[in-house]
Amino acid sequence: MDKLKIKICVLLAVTTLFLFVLAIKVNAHSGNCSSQWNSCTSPCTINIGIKGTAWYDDCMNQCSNQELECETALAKTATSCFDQWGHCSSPCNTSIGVWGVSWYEGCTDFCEKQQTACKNQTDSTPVNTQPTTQSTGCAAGDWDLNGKCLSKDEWCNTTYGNSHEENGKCPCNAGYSFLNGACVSEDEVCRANSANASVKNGQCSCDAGYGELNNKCVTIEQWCQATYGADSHAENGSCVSASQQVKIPTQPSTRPALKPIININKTQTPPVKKPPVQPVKKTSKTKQLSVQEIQAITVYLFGAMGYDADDFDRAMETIDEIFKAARGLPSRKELNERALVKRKDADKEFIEAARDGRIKNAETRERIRKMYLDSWLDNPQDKKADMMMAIFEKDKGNNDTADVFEKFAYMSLSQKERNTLTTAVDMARESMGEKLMREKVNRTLLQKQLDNSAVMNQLKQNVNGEIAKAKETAKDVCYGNSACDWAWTKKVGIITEAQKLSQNVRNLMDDPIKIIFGIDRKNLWD
Amino acid sequence: MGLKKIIIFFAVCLFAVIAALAYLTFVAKDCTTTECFVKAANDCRKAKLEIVDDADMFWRYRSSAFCGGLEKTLVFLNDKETAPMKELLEGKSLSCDYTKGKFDQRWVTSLIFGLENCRGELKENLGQLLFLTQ
Repeated sequence: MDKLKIKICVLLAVTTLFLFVLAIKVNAHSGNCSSQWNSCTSPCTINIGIKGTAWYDDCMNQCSNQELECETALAKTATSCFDQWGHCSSPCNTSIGVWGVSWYEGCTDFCEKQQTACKNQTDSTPVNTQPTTQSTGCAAGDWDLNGKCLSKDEWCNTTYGNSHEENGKCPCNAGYSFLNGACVSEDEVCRANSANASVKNGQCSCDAGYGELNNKCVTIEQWCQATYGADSHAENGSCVSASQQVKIPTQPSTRPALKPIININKTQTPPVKKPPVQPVKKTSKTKQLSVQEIQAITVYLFGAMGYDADDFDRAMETIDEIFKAARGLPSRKELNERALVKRKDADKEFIEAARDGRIKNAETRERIRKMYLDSWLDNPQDKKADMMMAIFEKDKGNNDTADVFEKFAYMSLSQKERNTLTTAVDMARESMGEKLMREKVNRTLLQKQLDNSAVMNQLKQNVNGEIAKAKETAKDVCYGNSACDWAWTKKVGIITEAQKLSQNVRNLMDDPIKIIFGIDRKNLWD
Repeated sequence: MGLKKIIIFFAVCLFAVIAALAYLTFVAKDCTTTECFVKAANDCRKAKLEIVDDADMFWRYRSSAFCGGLEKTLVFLNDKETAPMKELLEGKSLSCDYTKGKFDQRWVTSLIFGLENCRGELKENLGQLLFLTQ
């Protein structure tokens, strides 16, 4: 009897176990089915389950979609096509793909726009502007513009503004220069060169309250810190540091182009008594980001865009640890120089490994990653080291870490580089907008359509909500801190988050990243 | 207790186990609030939530039993959306994997956050639209 009971119990247990396993398998959405393109895998296993059941069909659909995504992604990232001007690259290779397929059409559109932009950039003066006139029936000496006959001067002036005809071409009038496809005033050129600059006495100079530093106009505060060290700041027209006070001349100097208005010569002004000791503020005032500023950015990077408190705390600890090493060293300049040497060594090793194929070896990649990390630890604001770290961390599957490094990379860009990136993003955005809206609409109309969309407004609310949370978290460290540029951090947030969600966006960003960071993400080791 | 009774007892037990498994596997908990759905999903229960959000978007969430994954579908947009926007998003889904107790509630409360490790056409299209925000 007891034996029989045991047998029944065992039978029951085995049956129950079998049913459990079956139930789990039936609901399995894990496991991989490799696609025919090898490097992409579908999200579900299709060799279990019963054909015709809902979950099985769902699974099959997922596989099918995933494989289509694989095909598209691999085709799009295969190579880049260089334009006919030889120096700008389009984001996709138009020699692959199939006419009529939506990604191919979008890609072609983008290529065309990119190439037009390239051409505009290449033409430093509008020398190739002579229109076709003969077939339009305009009188001799007139040129056609959209079916209307204009004198040559009018044609030039209408097409480029502030220009005239000369030997069949349209040079800009005196006082104007060719910029982005139009003749614009020197003042506009000057302002395009740097924010807070304008033409004074015929020269491009920084506005009052700003000084030239590395061909950019920076606040006098930043100028003081760059010139006299981290412990200095601007006060009543002087640079004040713990060790000396130096007067800032009030009269701007006239310089050939974007030179400093302020001109401090330490030897001309005798040291004066030190200012009264002020309580130390939580913000640090260095040209390079200080520990507090890096922390402020980290607050944003981890606090914004959905990282929870645990991630944030861990990140802060890590950053603290990382910067402990940097704090003991003599000067930021020295660290930066050392970092640059290390980063160039890493670049060289990376290029050589890519050339001879060693880069495909995981151990080689790890060694090179450590070289970049070594450089990054000395200077976390080296944009290329940041971006390479992002790539290596992503390769290792550390997506969150990669995300932070990528955000650091964007945060480390100069104003000029930020402008370039913004322009490239705007162009990519326009192309994508047209593709998504399935019609050629002008930018204003497209923006209006998007602004009226409840979906778009909810996306904006999502982003703004996260930014608001980050601002609240970071309000102490960001108090009076120039590093907390929320407009830029919002842009960075959108760019990085969109890349994480969309392979198309990532593909579109490949070219701007190549131009700004010098890194060809399309041709790494995959 | 005779053999017959023992067999009946175990048969009842077996039936109860099978019924429980079948219930967990095939019968979805019909939730009407996000809290209910998040709790059920976190407990690895099969659950379903259909909800209209503040922007009049109709969403369907389905969690599989035994933490088999989440499927998030944008069923309908509001009537005022343009045709291309509807074509881009309506009926599109994404799916996310999770383990017991690790259900990310942002999948239900937010449009975009927490989706990095999910997959599907909806994720791709939302990413493209996010890129268009300014």
